[in-house]
Amino acid sequence: MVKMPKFLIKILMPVMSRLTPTCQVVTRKVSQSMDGPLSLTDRIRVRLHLIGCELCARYEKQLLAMRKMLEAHAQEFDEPSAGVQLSDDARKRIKQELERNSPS
Amino acid sequence: MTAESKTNSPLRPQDWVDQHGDYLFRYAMLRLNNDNQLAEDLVQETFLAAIKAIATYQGNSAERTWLVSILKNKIIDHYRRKKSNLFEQSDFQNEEFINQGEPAGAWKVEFAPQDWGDTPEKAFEQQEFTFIFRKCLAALPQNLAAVFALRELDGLDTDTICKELSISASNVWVILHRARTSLRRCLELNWFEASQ
Repeated sequence: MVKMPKFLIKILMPVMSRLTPTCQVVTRKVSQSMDGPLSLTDRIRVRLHLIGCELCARYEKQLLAMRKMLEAHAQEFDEPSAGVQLSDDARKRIKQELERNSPS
Repeated sequence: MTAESKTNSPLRPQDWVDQHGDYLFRYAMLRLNNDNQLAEDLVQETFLAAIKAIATYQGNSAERTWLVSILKNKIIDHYRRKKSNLFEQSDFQNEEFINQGEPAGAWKVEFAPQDWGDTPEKAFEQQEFTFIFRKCLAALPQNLAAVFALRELDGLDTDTICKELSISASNVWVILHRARTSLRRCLELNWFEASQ
């Protein structure tokens, strides 16, 4: 509730705080909603809160963006150009182990 | 990378390291929070287990898919072998919110989410961001990172995660929320706030 105009806060805060859970609870629910459906009551309360709370609305948007970032990260990580590969030592060692344990 | 063979060709363990080694290594690194040593060990264990299981290979999945499924189990086993309380969570005392004083449960000014713009995920097109993102992920404690990876990278639902790691649903919710909170904060401090 930092960047909202003061008069809005004065009008909205008492109403919203009685109708909806606190930001702390809402962020927890928002996180949960990324992993499965919330109960109907929770969904309504969270939606109501997000209408009046710019910060929690940002929080939700950011979690969704982070999910997309993780996808991009996983894809990029898989590119050989990312340079993540077995070291020569490890490669050698694993080959030796495989050979030693291979059925002849 | 070499293409996966889709025919039922016989398995060739002598080629595994060259054909699938790097792929499996990356798979493990991504899920083990970049623990080099551990990733190497589990890749090796995977190959050794695969040799023993050669007789059970049905040939109805590609060689690589089969190896990945073994590695997947190795990773889960690794966490199961760990201390049994690794995933136990106390209540999440989130420092980002006011808990003494008014209004209780509201964002503290210094933690309030900043405006990340309309398409924050576009940041990924910048190399510097990719670097910061990796750093922030790597900064997650191991237990958070493990569950977060199962959920976000492997797309497992929370029920499955509970069963695989033998932890309670409420622990999984707390862990995921903690991981997201920490990652969000790290990105904001190191990228979005810094670039404003």
